[in-house]
Amino acid sequence: MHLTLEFAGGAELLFGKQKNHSIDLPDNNSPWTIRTLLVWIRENLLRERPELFIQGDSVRPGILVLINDTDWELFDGLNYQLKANDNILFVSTLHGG
Amino acid sequence: MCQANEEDDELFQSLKSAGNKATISRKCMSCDQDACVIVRIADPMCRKCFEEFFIHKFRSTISKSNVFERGERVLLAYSGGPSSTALLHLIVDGLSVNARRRLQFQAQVAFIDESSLYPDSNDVREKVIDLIKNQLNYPLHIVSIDENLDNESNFKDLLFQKTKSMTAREELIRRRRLKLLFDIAKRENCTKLITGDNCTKLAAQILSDMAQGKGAHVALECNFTDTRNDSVTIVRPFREIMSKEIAMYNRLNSFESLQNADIATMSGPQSSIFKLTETLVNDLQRQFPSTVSTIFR
Repeated sequence: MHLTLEFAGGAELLFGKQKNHSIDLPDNNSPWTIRTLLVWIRENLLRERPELFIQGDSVRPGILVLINDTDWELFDGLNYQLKANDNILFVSTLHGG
Repeated sequence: MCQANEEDDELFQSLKSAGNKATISRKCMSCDQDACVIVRIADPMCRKCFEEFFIHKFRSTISKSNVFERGERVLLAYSGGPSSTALLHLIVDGLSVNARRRLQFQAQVAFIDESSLYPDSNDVREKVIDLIKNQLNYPLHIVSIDENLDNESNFKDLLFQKTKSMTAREELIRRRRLKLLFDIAKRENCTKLITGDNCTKLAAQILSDMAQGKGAHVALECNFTDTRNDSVTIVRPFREIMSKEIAMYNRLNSFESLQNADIATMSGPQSSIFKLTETLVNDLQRQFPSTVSTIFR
């Protein structure tokens, strides 16, 4: 399944400074959710310091997640089932300025 | 005093545990459009209503306070980060000829070039010049963080030789930035300095100051106006705006922040007192959305 991931607000520093990632998730028996996507990201994309992005099975507090420019809290959060061509944005709000 | 917040948190907890996701309606609370963001505890808003809410909060904070005089010379502190980026665009809009209840002061922008502290931020300065002078057409004053130091030293050396902890380094950088900004303000006869300090960051700052024994300063550091300096008053219009709201506003308008790193980036959440309190505030805020407002009380 094809997805676009975006990282902003400093989160991109953990992903080789690359803000946009176009990825293909392998087909699975069970549907992909944000929760399983995070595991996939940790294993496949995260270059360094996983604890700065992931906490437990979710993102670190202070990182805002938008699914197709919509707050993930309006969907099911971690349980949201990904659809093909979804755009998932992770914005870190941990730097003021 | 804490009653209201406890009720809000209970409401939030019950909404979360309801398990039935239809409880948080996905329609905007004010109109019937699809919501795109949740603000406060569980208020969904569509894009249009959210932008109005955001801009209105900003404008009414300023106009209710009546702090600016007509024609007053004001300096806007721009760091390149998300808060000052949002602030810059809001002020530019508010000053534009067609603005409703147009802002009445005159603005200039100050940027502190900290590229000598961070190895990878070489082109931030050019991007700032391009944005502010070329695209937005505002007077811009750039000063290097190394400016005017004795003995031709640079600030980075000073930081690492004279201070032993990340906490001390952050504090030194804060004070240095303020000093440089005040210098520019005085030189340009600006009587006000506007900063993008937002609610979430100020809450973490309050706790951090208290932990360092600076409880006496707390009221001044998080106030809307800060008159500790005789000639230049600091104004913080984002005092009641959360970092999440700023991130959403920037995203909806495609405003990119030009600088997202500071001295404590990539260091762990326990590397300094401020990092600790920032982590605490954000962690709590996720479960208890009244955290930040409670701290402010």
